[in-house]
Amino acid sequence: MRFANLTDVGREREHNEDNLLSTFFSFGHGSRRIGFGLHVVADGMGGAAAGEVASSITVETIIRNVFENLLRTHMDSNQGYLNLGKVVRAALEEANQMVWKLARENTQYLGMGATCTTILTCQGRAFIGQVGDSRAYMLRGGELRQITRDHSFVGEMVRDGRLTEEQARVHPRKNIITRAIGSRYAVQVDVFFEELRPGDMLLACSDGLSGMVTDPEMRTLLSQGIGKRRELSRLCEDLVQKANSAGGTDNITVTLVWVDQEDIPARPLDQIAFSPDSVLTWDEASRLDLEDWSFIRVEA
Amino acid sequence: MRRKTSVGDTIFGRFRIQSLIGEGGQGFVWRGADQVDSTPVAIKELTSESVELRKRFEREMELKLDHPNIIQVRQYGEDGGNYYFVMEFLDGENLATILEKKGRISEAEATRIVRAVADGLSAAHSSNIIHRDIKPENIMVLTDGRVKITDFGIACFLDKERVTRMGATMGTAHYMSPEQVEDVSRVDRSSDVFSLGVVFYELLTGKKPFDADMLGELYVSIITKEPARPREIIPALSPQIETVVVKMLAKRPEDRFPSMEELLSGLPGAPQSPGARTRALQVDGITGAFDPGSAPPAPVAPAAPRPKERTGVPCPACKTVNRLGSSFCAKCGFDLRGKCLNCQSPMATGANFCPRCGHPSVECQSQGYFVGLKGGFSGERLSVDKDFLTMGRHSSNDVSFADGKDDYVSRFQARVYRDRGCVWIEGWDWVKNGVTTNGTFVNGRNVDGKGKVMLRHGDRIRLGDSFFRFEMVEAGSRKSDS
Repeated sequence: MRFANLTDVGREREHNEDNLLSTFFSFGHGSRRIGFGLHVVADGMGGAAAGEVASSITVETIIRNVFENLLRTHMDSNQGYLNLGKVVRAALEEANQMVWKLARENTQYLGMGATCTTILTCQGRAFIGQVGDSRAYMLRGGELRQITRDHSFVGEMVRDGRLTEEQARVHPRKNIITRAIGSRYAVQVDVFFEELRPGDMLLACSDGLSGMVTDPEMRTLLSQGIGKRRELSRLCEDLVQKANSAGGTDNITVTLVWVDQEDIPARPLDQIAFSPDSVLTWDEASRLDLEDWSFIRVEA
Repeated sequence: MRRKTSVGDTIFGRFRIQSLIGEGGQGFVWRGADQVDSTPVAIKELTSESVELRKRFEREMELKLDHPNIIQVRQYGEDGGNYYFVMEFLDGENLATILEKKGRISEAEATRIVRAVADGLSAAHSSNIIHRDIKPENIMVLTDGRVKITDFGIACFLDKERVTRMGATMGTAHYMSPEQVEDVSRVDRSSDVFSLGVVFYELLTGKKPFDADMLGELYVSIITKEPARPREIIPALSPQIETVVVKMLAKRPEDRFPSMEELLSGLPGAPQSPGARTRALQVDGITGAFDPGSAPPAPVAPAAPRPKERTGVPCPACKTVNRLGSSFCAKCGFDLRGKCLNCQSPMATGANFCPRCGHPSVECQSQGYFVGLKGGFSGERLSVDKDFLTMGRHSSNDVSFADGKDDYVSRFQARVYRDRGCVWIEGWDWVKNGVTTNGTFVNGRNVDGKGKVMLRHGDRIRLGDSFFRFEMVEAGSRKSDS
């Protein structure tokens, strides 16, 4: 797997209140070694510098939470499996708590919050956690599809059939969101799942990109770039430039993840085991009450 | 160059600034004095941002709305580089403060306030002015009970909303109509109906029909959610009032009341004829504005001067003289019945008391009595033989509880009025807030500070530790003529 990311303040804003992080990491060794990819995009909001505080806390908390969760599972020999969808959800929920607490305790941070799109990849599968109107897309076979649902006022209107996508794009209230990290004590996180295939590209971005560049424009730019074997980092720059030419009214953040042949295991794993004693058989695992698409099985 | 406004300045050569009242969303608000007639005024100094938008609406304000329910604007314009609005000074509280203090108010009072606001809006709408920002902060209830709409035409929607994504302007948003949410420019008369409906709902139930933590959720809620029916929250509300509120909150403008006039006639207790006042019929009697000088609702039969002797009733249609006690004219069938002052049910001619509620009729030559049951005047029968009586512990009262009769009665506790066959009581010593054991009670409910309450035969009255039963009895021994 390869990735590239880029963030830009845009043409109109004074500060960049977006935050992002992408990383690869792995646990275990030998035949038990499992690799993960973690990509976070967060778009902060709030008076003064509060937006930046909100988005950076969001990113840091998610990274820490995912690491701790996986590490704990690794160290705890009794725990042999992981529900990665729940890992993502828990990470965003904790980020919400951290931002919310800070916003309550400091008057200068009152009302601050962030959107967040988080992608966790493992063994040819992607788990996407979503709050707000930042987005994740899948580019596959030349087609671009939005994976996440916008938690925004215009997004709800479009889903309700009251607005078309084109009207939503230019609506004066398109910036109003209905869910955010840090706006209330508990947040409802959407989790999406994707089975990855070689040649797939995942895109995570803030609305500074998706609000300026239409889906067809993004698709064209990326497909042509892939065809010309353009580097991922260059594609990120192209997208940011396109958003700026269209106005650049907001901060622009984009992450691209490329799925290679070797990222997809020949035989899919459904379970993670970190110590030899705690491997569950498929029978044992199937008797447990857990969503089966989030399991990774270790080869015997 | 703009000079900074300060105390002592004179605006428009006429209004002297006395003190700073506060800072509104659009600029400072000062208290001042009109040096021409020495009346107090409120002076709003607009920020430069607001001025831009203000000038767009100056044309509307030139129409200078003049209505008792709309705040009066004396003068506006530029002076010394700043922009000012000079208005009459209002002594009272806005509905936001009242809601904060009381949670909710009675159906009767809420209806009264909404009717007053609708009246004012009706006048504005006829002059093609739409308020656009009806909310509790913009409706004031003065100390004398009058209702005034403020911020008229001044509150305009900003083109570029100063809204952060988290919702800095959520305060106004709760009262916005769905069409305003979807498109700020789509505001018309029915948007004011909706916003007033939200206020009405909140006054009656103490809750907002649409609420959310985030601005985005609030917008979605206004457009898509049906609010809980008012009677689900407060079951004691009348079904008629619920129907009105629900209609005001219809999502589509065409489903609401098309105009303020329609709303006014749709509100319960609408006066039968212009100029007639509604009466307080409940014991808790929150009337708002009782005026003993106003006429009671006219009976169907023409209101003749009180006859000294009744021998027959002339039919207004065919002039035939009918027997006393008839309901219909014997010749032409015309309905001769009047209406009970208390319960509005039909009463046969010459009847002294209503067949349904026992209340004396207008023509009834009846006498009111306070029959002492316990306490100071136990066993005694006090007659209401004057048009105005006072009751209290001080010896100067007509009914005095001095000399140990009842130490718990206040020195000046209650006043009793007699008017056209009815007797009213008013708890006078309302210096204390809320219910006190020393208060005046009618059928167990404290009536202090609630104006004049009409007494009915059989009502229990308590002052301090003394209990009375109120009776209305026929004077003398009348027999019906035949």
